[in-house]
Amino acid sequence: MIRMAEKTGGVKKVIIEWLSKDDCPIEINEDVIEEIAEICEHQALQKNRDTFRSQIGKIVSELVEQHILLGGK
Amino acid sequence: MRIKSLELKNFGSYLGEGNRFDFDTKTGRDGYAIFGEIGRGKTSMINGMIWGLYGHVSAQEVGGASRNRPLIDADTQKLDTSFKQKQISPILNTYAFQEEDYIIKVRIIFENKGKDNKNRVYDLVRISENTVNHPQDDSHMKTTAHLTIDGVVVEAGRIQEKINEVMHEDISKFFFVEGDVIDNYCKLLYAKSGDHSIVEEVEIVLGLPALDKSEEDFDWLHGETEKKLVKAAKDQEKSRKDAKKVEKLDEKLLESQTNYDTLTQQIEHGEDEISRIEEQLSKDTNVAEAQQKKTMNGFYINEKNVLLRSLYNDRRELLSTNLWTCMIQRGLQSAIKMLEGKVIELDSLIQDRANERSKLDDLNRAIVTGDHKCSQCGNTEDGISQKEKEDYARQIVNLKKSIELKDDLINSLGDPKTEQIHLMRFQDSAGHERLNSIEHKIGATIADISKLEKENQKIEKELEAHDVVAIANLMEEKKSLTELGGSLKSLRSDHKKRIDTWEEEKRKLMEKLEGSVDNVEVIEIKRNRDVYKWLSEKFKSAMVGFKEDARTKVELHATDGFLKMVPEPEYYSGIKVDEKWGIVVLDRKKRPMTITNPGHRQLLALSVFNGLRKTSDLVFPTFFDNPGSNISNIEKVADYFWADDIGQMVMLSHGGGLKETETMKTYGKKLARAWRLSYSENSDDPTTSIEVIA
Repeated sequence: MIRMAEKTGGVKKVIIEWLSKDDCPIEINEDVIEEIAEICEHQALQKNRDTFRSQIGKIVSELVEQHILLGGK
Repeated sequence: MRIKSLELKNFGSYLGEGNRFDFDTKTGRDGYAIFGEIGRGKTSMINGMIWGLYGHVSAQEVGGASRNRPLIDADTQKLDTSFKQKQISPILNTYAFQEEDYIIKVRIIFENKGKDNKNRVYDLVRISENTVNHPQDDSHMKTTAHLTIDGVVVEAGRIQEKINEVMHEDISKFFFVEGDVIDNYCKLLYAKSGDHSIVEEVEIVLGLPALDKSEEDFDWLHGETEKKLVKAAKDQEKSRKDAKKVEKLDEKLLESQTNYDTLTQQIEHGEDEISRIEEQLSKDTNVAEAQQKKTMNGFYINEKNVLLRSLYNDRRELLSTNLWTCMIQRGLQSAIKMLEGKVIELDSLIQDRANERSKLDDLNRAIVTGDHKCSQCGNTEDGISQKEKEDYARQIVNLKKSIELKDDLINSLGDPKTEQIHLMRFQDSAGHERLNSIEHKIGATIADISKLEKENQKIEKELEAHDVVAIANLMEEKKSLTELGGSLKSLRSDHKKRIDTWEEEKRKLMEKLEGSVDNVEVIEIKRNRDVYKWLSEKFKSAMVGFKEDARTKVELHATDGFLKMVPEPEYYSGIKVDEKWGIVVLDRKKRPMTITNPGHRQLLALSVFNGLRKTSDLVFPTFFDNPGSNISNIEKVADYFWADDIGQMVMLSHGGGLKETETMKTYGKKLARAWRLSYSENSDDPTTSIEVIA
């Protein structure tokens, strides 16, 4: 959906703002944050939540795997 | 999204091919107008758009239930005219049906910006056609859709997904708007407990599900990782016992949480019911007030009767002890009053007699001297005629008679003044005045009682029109629901305490388990769980701020629209939106006020509705079909919406709303395009004909 993101922001901008507060338990970069925000916005009206859960699950698993590979605990 | 064109075949009142609306004017303007009387195809045009995009159109049956419009209904369409409908009219044009042309087709061409901010052209065609020779109902029809994006064909299974990506159906009702839908938003005005369906719609258009649905799913994912953690712990001997305890706690927590949720639902349902009852009772405020007034009047009547009895007693007592004194004094008072009258009469007679004597002297003098002296100014006129002398003589005779009569009357009256003075010496006012005062009070009390009784009779008559028993039942129902709500809340509180205790117990056990299992797989599960928890918390916080922000924006937009469209804006200062999206209008002193004027109420709903659309940041073409049947100054509404800069704005109106001539004169040059819908002149059938007028 087209939102007037350039004008006032909308829900995606709010999500990005909140996830960019630098307090995630593991490292998370801007691209991933934007990807999560997009999925949330895109899947918001889907009754079946399986796609959302699997997409987010995949992103989080990859983040954690990367974190552990880089020596994180 | 911008609509470029819409073509309709055999859809609603549009018969055959060639029914095309071309929105692509390249004028740089976004305002469009469609004029047409009732039944000429305005709503069919919007429905065509909805059907083209989503493959179905809903309509309300008589009685209010909503269901999808059938494509075809032979039972109805075999009849002579489309007006002999038994229920909801089918989509296929009735004359097309009778001519055995069963193909319905809608083609919409629009452009939409993709993620890369580039415009893409969508060409969407939806066709329904018969699968048997003489179709009777929708089971004999087959609907297919074809979509190309920038000329690239989209596979059939993904078409709806692609359309929903552009404009989700749940959002569409905020952009393809029938006037009646606006009335539904009037409900917001009374959403004390929140009309759930409307609150849900409002939150959808504002984009809230992106936060709350996601947050629910993060919680779910968090729960799943915890289960995995417990499972991993169960596999190890040293932590098996604790893992089983956690599983048991989970079972108990699930049961208690289910009970907690059920109780919450029941409490909310009860609160909704109480609000409904309060709303019903508030509609009967006058009845409640009248009943109260009647009760109070009854109370006053009783009090006055007690007073009356006491006054009668006082009078009786006074008369029994001082009867003769009172009687004599009353007689004396009456005689003095009578003499007073005689004194006045005597004075008046003496005065009249003096005047007559003076006039008599004047007349005598005039006859003797022949002159007439004016009694007012004193000037003397010279000479009078013989005729005048005769006239004066007649007057003199009459005056003498009158003076003699007055002499007799004066003598007969005697000397009332002296008599009055004599009698007044015997006057004793104490007992008599008291009696007078008591009687005055008795009279006033009787008058009060009579007035109250009449008022109660009137109230009773008014109350006959209302179902007093039903009101009493509602009040009783409200009382029971309130009591039940109290008990349920207490039960829920018990569950909450248990849940808190078990969650704390589980948290401690989980900490212990986490310490006891520490392989890579478990570390991964733990981190996953932490991230989900973090996401869930972030979204919870975001939601609070987002809702607050959205509410403020809706208030601002709605206030702006309302004050620009309402006829007397000086009476209002703004619109407030509460946490459950209930709307309150503020008067110029910023006090909540009630709007009873139906037109103003529609304007208010329209303003809130538009405030929601604007706050949502969604940019879609908007089709307003008869926005506000009760709004008197619809031109102001059109002016406001056409001045808006959030995309194409199509206003559809019949003659009772926007007048074609006046509108075109005022706004014609500001519009991108305008059409007139009428019945086809070259046809016997009442089917829509489209004419571009600007």
